[in-house]
Amino acid sequence: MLLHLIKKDILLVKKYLLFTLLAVSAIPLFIMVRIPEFLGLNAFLISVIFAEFMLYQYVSMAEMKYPKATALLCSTPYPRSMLIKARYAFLLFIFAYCYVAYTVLALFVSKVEYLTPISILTVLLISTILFGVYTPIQYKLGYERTKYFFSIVIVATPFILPALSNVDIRLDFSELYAISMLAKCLILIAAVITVFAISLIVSIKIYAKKDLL
Amino acid sequence: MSNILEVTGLNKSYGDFSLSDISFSLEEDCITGFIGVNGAGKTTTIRTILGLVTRASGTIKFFRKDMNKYEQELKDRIGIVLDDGGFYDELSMAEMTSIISPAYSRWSEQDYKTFMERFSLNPRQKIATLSKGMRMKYSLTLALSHQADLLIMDEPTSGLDPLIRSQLMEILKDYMKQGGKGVFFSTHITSDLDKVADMLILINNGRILFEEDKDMLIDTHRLIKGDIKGLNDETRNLFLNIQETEFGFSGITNQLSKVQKNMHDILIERPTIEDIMLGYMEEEAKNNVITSH
Repeated sequence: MLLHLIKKDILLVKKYLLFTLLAVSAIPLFIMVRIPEFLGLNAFLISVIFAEFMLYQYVSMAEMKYPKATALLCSTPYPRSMLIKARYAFLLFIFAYCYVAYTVLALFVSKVEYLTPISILTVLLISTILFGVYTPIQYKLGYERTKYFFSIVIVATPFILPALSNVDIRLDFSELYAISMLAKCLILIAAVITVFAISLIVSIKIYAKKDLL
Repeated sequence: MSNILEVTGLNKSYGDFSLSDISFSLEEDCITGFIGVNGAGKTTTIRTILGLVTRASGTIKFFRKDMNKYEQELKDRIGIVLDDGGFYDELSMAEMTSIISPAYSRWSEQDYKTFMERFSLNPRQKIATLSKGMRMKYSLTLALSHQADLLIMDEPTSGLDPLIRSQLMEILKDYMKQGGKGVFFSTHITSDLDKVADMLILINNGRILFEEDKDMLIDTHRLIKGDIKGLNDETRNLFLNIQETEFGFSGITNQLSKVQKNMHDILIERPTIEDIMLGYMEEEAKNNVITSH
């Protein structure tokens, strides 16, 4: 059931899929030419947020345009919670695609280096936090009232990242540096799972009470 | 015959509108027409029954099982036809089917193909390009392709031409021939129900006004026409509603023998379902005015 509902989201964005998937590879190439110091984590982060944002918004727009279709789906044996799980899984699929696309790029373009496990997990955590906060809010308030949230994020990202890199942050991460790579990965994985699970549960609870008109 | 749907004490409020203490039941092997004007509460009732909108109170049982406890199992046995289909218009019928069909454990690809061919529907056609009649036929195809025991249809005939409406009625009759099935069919076009309905439920302003056997209902009501002179306070009370013109009056009664006893030179006709529906609605409006004063 889950896969069929993920397929539903893919079908709804099929018009924009090719462009978005190409953009995922084009973004690191663009960064390589214009700001090569941003390759790696930053480039991957921008690719992931761009792809997830674009496809998520297109799905949300389609759902808003055809509210009766959601009502029809919920009147079939598909549990409502399954629709929510599929949306979260859809985001994970996009993330996985972005990772594969970046790795393929690294394979063929010598200037693009392979992503480290820490970079992958850090980007996964950041995107999980962003969409983990946004998704329950969207289920609560609807697409129309929340559509500018990510527009602001996506527009601000190219300005925020260079600004952040120039800021001299004097925090003591010595203890964090001391722990092993494996431990760091485990902490990041635990954080991703926690944020993901909390967000999923909250979204399911919100959607369970939603009136589908 | 056993009940395939029992709704008890259903309440739901939406701003100014509310469903008030809705209770009714559907029997097996019956086509039940759910009638009422636009905005009476038909769609809200159906959506509440299907769990698409939350209810303030009330119990819903399909096939004697509580909807709260057995929602997925019960929905597997129900075929749904929503007003206007409820599809993603940008998809083709084949794509839409590929989303809907995996939800049903008893989906029959053979039945699906048979209905698509019978209705001359091309699975590759985009849903946005379908006419209203074709949308309804596609909707019906999805509803009938998983061996549903109950068909719930919300305004399926709205906006359709008489030929397609007539075809739909034939399909419903064929479906009922299988035995052990039921149809719950909301409409404001009551003429559709004349030929096929066994039971009728009238809803108005979110309240059920009657739940009756159709033939019994028509047999126990009469449309009376006569001279206004025959109307007085006593005889007016024998009617559900009265339409008066300078040439005479017409009204619906369920007290024919008393009318015949008290009024002379009257014309007695068999009413349509619509006549009876309007009669009860006007009677309710009249009673509401009296109560509010």
